[in-house]
Amino acid sequence: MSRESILAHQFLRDALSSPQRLAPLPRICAELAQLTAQEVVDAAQLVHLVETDVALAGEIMRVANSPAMRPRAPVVSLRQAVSWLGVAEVRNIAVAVMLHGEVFVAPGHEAQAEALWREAWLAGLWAKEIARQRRKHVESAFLAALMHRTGAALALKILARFEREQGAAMDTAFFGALTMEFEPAFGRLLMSAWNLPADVQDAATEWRQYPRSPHADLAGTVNAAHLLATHTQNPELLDATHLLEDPVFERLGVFPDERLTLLGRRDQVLSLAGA
Amino acid sequence: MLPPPDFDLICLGSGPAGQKAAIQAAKAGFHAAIIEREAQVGGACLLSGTIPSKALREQALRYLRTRSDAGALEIALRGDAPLSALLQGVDAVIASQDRYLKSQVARNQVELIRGKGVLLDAQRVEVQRLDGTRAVLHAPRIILATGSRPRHVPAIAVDHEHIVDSDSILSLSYMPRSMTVLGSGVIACEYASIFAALGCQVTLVDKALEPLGFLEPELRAGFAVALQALGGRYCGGVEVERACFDGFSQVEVTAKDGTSFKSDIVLAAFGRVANLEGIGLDRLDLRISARGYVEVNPRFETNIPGLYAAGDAIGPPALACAAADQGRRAALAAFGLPPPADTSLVPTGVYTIPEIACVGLSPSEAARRRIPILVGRADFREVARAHIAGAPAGFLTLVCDRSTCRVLGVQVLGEGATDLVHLGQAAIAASAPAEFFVEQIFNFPTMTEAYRIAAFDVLKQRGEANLSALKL
Repeated sequence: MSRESILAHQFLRDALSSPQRLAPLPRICAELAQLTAQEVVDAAQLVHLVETDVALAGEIMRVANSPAMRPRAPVVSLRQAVSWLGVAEVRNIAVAVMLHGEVFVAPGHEAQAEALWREAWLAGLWAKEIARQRRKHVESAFLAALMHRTGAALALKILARFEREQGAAMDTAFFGALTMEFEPAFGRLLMSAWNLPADVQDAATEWRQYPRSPHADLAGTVNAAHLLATHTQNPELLDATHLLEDPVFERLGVFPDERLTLLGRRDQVLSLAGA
Repeated sequence: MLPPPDFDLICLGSGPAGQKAAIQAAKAGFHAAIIEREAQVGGACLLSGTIPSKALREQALRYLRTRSDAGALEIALRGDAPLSALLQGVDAVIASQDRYLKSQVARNQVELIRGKGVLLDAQRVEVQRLDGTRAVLHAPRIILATGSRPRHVPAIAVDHEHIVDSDSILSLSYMPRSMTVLGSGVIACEYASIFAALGCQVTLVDKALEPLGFLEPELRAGFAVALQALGGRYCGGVEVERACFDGFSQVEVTAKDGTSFKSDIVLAAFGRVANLEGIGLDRLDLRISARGYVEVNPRFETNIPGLYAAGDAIGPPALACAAADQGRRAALAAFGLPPPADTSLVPTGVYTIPEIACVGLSPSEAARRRIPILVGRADFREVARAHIAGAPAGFLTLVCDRSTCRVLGVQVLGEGATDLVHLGQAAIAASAPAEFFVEQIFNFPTMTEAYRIAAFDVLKQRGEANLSALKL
């Protein structure tokens, strides 16, 4: 093992041992969770909280006005948007925006971080569709799929910091291999720090080996959502034929005609994703 | 001309009806197959209905006991408690049942075929496999045992997010703070009491004036009292017009009279509907009832020769135990074999908190049919075992023939009711009189003591001259 490799491994391991510094739950998410846990949620307080984050406010306005939400008229104010989307959706958007802004950020590797983010967000939306089609509640599926690349994003962010400290770019293949190697550990670390449910943590870290996961059904849903997200973004990388033939759909009990129905919701998913 | 048959019998569906039909056929020496779309054997009973909901109920009972044992300590479920944690162990139960059922099917040399079965005609089924391949199978006898799914109504759009049904409620990711349950039948009442026991604020809403309308008034009243004690409430006489997410944090249910109910989540529990779509019925002139069930004669044969149906596909009572019996009888009828002794004794079990069960003649039915009866009653407060178990609320009523004291019916409300009712069922089947429960020696302390107390009550009412000769 080269010296650079030893140092990089050590850097990643050090990062893993200090989770609080690495990925604390963003303030706005914690405040949102506190606010929305109240018996009666105050819309004005929620709007006030959202207003403190420009990126979050912008995303809420965008989603509220997306064709998939079918607003009866253009949504022009944040209060209107929050009322239109509801507490649960605002919370989902907040988690997504915070992930995008704080976890999927790797200076020098912006394109990779953005690609990972896009994959996570699209997978989250696809997971909802898969769950709905299978008559399952959609929330766990969405959250697990949304979080499924956070480990890779966090590893990427740490390695980008390592490069800056070393003052030299790493070999691309080695960089990729390290990201893959540390993805599950960083994913688990972040989700456990954020106190996410155990089934979501398992599914979001074990989606590649879903048959072996204690939550194989949810992990399989994440795997299928990942494939659908990949196809939606890069049909040349994964064409419809190969996508629909993937064994994960068999495992989930989704028959070929039902897979086609699922794929037929592509435009709706893209519209929500802001493509 | 049709090719030689691949099987003597094909069952569409592996729930209790299909599974038992195929095994019955195999035991009679015939070659049977089951076509099942899910990976597991057992149908909705195992995967999304009977078994998982009972597992959740068990967790709710544990939670209630812990709270009660803790006395002064304040114990409450966290608002964000994942429901999956409460359902812990249910996957293991499903897996073990699946293993057992599969081994039973294999042991009887029944062929289990994974795929969607579509009828091409009354003797041929096209199997669409998950890998997209298709095969046509031929059998001179086919049993439709496709089961049921939650009934949806046009005014209430189930989105599996804010408005769930009895399938998607089991994958809910969190414990809602409040829930409106639409309906007043078995599923509605079971979930209402389970979630109320878990600390959720439950409102049961229906146009029926009382919940569980098919039960005796005393059982209905007992359930209503228990629900209230758990913090739930029943709003009867309410005709629901619509339910929609208010776009913010609550789902609003609006009644025709303008009343509205707001809660975190709505459970639409309007009963179940037969799974008959996509199985090729459009090709056949199969008679379907106005309620959407396959019509069958007492031999479970449809209007199309060779085509039989059993289980939830033919409608009420839609109980797993009845479906299994129907499946066996349908298979015997399909092969022209004599049916087992007829029994109209089907127990009803309602897994509310506490449980409710009944079998045989009810006092209301006796009054309607002008059958002279005596009704003996045992209050669980008189039963030592009920106190030991910490569940002294409940009762058992024994319905007996007025002149002979022969046991005709039993109704039970209380923990363990669904098991306890079976002793009464056996007495009815054996035409035993009330004295049977007094003369026999039963373990003590057990809940069976309730039968003895109720039997004494019957005998006292008859003015039994020689009560002293009986064991007291």
